[in-house]
Amino acid sequence: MSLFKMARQKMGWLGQRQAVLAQNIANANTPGYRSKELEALKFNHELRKLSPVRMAATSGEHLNGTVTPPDHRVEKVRLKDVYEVNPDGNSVVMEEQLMKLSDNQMQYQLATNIYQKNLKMLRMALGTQGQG
Amino acid sequence: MDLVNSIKISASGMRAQGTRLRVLAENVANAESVGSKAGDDPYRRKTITFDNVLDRGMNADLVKVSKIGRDQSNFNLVYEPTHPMADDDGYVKMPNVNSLIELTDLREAERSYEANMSVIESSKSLIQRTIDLIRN
Repeated sequence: MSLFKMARQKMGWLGQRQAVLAQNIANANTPGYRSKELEALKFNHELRKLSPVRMAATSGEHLNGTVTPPDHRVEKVRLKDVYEVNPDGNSVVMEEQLMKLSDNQMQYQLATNIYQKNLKMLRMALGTQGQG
Repeated sequence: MDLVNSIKISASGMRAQGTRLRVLAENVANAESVGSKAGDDPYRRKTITFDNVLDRGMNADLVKVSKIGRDQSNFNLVYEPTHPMADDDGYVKMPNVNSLIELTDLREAERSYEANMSVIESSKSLIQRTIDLIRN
């Protein structure tokens, strides 16, 4: 698996996690809402999923489903793992979510930087522009 | 597309908080609205509750306003015999709006709105970084 692919997968995971965190923060005042978290990205797990089996669309009239299943599972955080639960049953802790959000952002920067560096390495090997 | 979706999710949260602010504004504005005839009921405080709905296209829980209800608690009775709406005993029914409750609610709505705003900014910067990948 190339470095590009790894960085891309990490970015896909982080993008999906961003959506999950956005859901949690948007539902911070919804009674009974339980906070969610994306399952952790595991390298050996990713290796196994490289060639998923799908129905081939061999004709233009074939439908291949409008909703593509997400790559990673979203799980509700167990109640004993959250900091606190509001009296209305909402378990979103804003501080925790914002912390995760900035963590997500930093990891995304890391992934894009790796991607860019890898690109620069390839360019250097090609000899077009060595600087950078 | 997840990053664009997260902006939509946050926008739904902001819309819900915006409705909440509207209801709060109605309550505060009508804090002194008495009935039109002597002995009539004054303005009854409005309440708002949120609900999460699954958006199948996005596969995400959006926020929507589930119900704008009425607070069924008792009205405040104020003794003011000279008031034109006073009943025979000299009491005026005032709305059951407590400005302290409304103001704390206002703060909470404001904070939630800001939190959603920062999620949008964060998602936007992630999208920007992805676009920057093809720039150099």
